[in-house]
Amino acid sequence: MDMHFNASANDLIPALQLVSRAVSPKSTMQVLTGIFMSWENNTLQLVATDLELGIEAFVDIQSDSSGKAVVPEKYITEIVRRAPTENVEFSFDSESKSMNIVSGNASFTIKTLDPSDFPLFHRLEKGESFSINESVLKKLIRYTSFAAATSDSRRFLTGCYATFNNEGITFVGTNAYRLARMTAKTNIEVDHEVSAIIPAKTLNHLERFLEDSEDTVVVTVDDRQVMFQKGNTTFVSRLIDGSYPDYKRIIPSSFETEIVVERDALFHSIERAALFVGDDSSGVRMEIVDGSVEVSSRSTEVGSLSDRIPAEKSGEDLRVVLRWEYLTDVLRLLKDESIGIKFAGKVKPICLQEQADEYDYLYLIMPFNTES
Amino acid sequence: MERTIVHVDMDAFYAAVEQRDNPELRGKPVIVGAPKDAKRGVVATCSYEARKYGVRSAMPISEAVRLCPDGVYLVPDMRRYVAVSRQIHKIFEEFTPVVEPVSIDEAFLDMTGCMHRYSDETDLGMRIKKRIAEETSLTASVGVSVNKLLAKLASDAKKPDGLVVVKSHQIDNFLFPMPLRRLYGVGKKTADALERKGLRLVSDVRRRGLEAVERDLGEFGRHLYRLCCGQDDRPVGVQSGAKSISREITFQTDISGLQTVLVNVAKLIPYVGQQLRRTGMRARTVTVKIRYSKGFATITRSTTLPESFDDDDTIYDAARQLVQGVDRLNAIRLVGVGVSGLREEKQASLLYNKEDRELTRVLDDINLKYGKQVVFRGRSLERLD
Repeated sequence: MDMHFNASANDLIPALQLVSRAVSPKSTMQVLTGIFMSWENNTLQLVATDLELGIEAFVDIQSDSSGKAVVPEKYITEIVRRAPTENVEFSFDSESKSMNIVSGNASFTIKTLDPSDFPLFHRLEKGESFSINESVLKKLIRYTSFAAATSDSRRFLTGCYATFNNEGITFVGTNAYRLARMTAKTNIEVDHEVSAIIPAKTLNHLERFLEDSEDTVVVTVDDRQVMFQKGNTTFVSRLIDGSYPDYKRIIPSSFETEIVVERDALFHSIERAALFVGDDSSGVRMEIVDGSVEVSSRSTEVGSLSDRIPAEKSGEDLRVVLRWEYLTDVLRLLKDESIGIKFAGKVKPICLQEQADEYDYLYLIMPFNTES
Repeated sequence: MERTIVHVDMDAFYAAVEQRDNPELRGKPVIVGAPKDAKRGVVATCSYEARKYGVRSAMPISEAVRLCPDGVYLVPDMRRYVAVSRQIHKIFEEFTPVVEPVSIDEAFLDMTGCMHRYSDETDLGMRIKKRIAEETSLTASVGVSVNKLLAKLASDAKKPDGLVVVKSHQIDNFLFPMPLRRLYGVGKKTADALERKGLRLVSDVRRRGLEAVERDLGEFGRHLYRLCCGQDDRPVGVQSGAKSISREITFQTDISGLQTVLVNVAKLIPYVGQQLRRTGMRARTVTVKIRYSKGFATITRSTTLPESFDDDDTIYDAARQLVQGVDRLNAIRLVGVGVSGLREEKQASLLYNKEDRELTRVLDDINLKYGKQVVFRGRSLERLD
């Protein structure tokens, strides 16, 4: 029996692209390389998951029947993108398990996978639930998730540690060498403090989906999962097990040296120095003296740079070597034209901060071990 | 400035160590690699007596047995060989601080600027050979010349127990009769292809001239011509970043399937990780190697991670993803795992100090003490999901 529905390519493309982010193209479970489609009562549900993150989206359609299929992600998005007309007609042949897609004079037929193999998409029913302003959540992620580890046997470092309480929301990301923490002073209503380690990968996908708007995102957290809902789009992600390191103990309380520099001048100087870091260490040297920061780098095979930018200094002279990306990553995010950098000592954390009415931001970089 | 570069290559190293330590083996064909009845495995080294039967390194054991059924077949005892190798390395350091070990039984020495201590290159070569013989009772073949390419060709020219000096005015005479396949980077296939173009010897290339060779063979032609002129300015001792650590298993019977491959990969990883940690370095790249039974076709897949690592879990995760990306996982006779891009870790940690690595170190110590992997992580014992 054939089952039909009609959809608009303009509605379908963004929804397909969104859920595609959760597809695992190399999964050993073949059904996970596809997008789950279920249509009923003029609504099409799209789901994809890699078993860590699941994304669900809905699209309005015209349907005269209901049905389910899993279509290969590799092809379905491209088929709809290449459809010659706005209207795209889908018919599923339950005998041959193939999906026929007609648009204008073009007629595609693709084989589908068995929808009964596809893991059910569970929205969280229980757990703590609260609302956050969309732009605030986007900013929390953007300022912290990049600092998390991309791969580490200490799984908890590949996530952001999120804390929600009545005073606000705090996100922390660290790969053990640098750390970013942002607190948004926003009113959320929770019965008690909730904390969770959310995979940075999930957050990065979410951040790209979120907009700088005042819309509301509903967050639900239980012991194992977190759910983000905006409109009729839902992200459900596993949380990372384990206890997050006690990062507060590493935030220095006193500093040996403090400087104030122009953000752009420092950013460009570090970028110049990055040309000559040996690829084995990525180290850039900063020598802080009265009135200036001397930036230098040397690659034994290529060449060297020395540069100087003006700075107001208080405290001791200091020389540190640090990984250049750790500094440029944060300089890109900071808004103030003139920024303060505090140094706790030779092989001790370097601290950058930005404070505003709505948020507090802290960023730490650990320099290299250097022999004196 | 003209350099003085020495290449030292131990003669039939593993077999020679075995013959030295077991007088009954002297004068007999000794093949080190695998037991005689092994279905798989290759010849690692064989004694000169075995070479008379046509046995060669890298030959399958089964073929060696066919050629030399009465040979003595031994399983390599790497610990002993490594101990001797260290002894030899110490001798090299008596001569010069600039030593580049190429493998367990081979090294380059840069003697530039130290030659005033010797009457000439032959005197230097003799003294190195003598010191090795005194300390280890083993023979080495030594080549002395002006660069690594020529030193290596020279050590190879009169094996075993050879000493060949090639001075700059002797380069052409030395190289001209040399078959091209002896040059570094010219494998069998390339040599065959060159021969079809009428290029078999170094002299053939030189006679044809740079322009013609370059026109015919492009960039490779220019490179080949340089080699044929004996030019090579690679420094001794500077590692080109190609330094790596790897382990592989050859299976007695072929294996197939993702799970089986992953279990075997998991078995190799503690060895690689342990060796990496012992160097005190961290790596950036993980490589997986798979050799199929049919036609010995071999594939390698590698990935470079954004952060350096020295732990087994990171190596395993990267290796698993690489294996999952391989289309064909059947009829496999060998799998290997390696790490490369080794570097010293200078980055200090915000959160962890050295004590936090205790668990890994305890595991390594137990394993080192008992000489094999007595403690495995669970994944190498069970099926993986």
